[in-house]
Amino acid sequence: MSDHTTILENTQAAGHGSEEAHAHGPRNPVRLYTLILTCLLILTGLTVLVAQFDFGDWNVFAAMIIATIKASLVALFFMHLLHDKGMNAIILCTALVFLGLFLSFDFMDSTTRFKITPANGAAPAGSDFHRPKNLGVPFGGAKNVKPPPEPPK
Amino acid sequence: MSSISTPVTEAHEDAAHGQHDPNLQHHFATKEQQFDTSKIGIWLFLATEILMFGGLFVGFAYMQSRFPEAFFEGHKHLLKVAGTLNTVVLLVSSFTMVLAVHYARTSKRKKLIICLAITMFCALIFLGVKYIEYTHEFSEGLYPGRYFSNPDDPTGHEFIFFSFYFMMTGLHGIHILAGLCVMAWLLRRAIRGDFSRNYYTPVDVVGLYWHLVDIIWIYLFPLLYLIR
Repeated sequence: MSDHTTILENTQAAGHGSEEAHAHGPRNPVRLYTLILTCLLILTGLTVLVAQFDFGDWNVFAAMIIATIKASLVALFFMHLLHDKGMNAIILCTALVFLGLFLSFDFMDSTTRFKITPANGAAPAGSDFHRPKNLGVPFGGAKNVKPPPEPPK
Repeated sequence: MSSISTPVTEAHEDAAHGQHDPNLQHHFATKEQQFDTSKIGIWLFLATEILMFGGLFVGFAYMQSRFPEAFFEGHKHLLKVAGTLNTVVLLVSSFTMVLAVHYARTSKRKKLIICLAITMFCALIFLGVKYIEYTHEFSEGLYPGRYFSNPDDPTGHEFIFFSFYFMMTGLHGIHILAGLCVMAWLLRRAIRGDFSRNYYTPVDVVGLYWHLVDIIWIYLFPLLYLIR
């Protein structure tokens, strides 16, 4: 009980110290936030502008790079990550790492696939996905499937 | 060790602490600890949010790479001006939200109330524009999945794009709606004068949530409205 109180007092003392450190945010927050908003709006304009041109495969990359710059500005300044305790940034980065794993493994899978022909040859050659004709039968697959040939008697 | 011998004095001290801070819950040692705990809590929640939307983004990326023409044709139906307007509105609302946090931290009650009100107003504009967009899309028969009934579909797969479009913007819209509800609660407390430099955790935490919703839209906007 008393030990607890001593710890409490110690942490209180420590707390005061870091409270002061906490106040050491940006010198003039309102000006900084206005600057960030201006950057974000300019980048939004840039995204729209970039989308007018065709860069082939780089379209998505360009859009995603600008979006990531915008998201970083929001996270670092509006979400205070730059001046915050590291723990919060660690949590965010962990989530992003796992999202990256998810995306990259999905990418590896989808880019290394080959067309699978059903064993019974039911799907027409060259067919990919089909629009579902009714929801009970996903992708209309089962409807097109011929019954397996009957074994010769 | 020496302090063990003086339990009575401490009990006395506790009693002397009569004016205990009502905002400091008893299971926290200090306000600093309480604040940091709340922040870690909301960041963990935001991590789950990222992963939840992440699933949709991965699905979108997969289907987009599989049916690029359908996604390209599909996105032509969207109202680009409305999407751009909503992006600007959300960015401005993020700005007023971070100002709200700043004014709560510096005990400026009136400015806090104004900023919260503007943020809520922006959220309402966003939802209003979204309503107009959805109405426009429904009127053209652009529904998700098997309900898709737009005759002008050269690819035959546009329904996939609209499934993603409605799932992603719909889920995002629900987050805007939830943020609006929480901000109404914040506004009530701010008017009551609950927040000051001593205690502004709820404003900070809601602000973080609101910025994440903004970040998600920052990615949704180019992916859905501007893809080629």
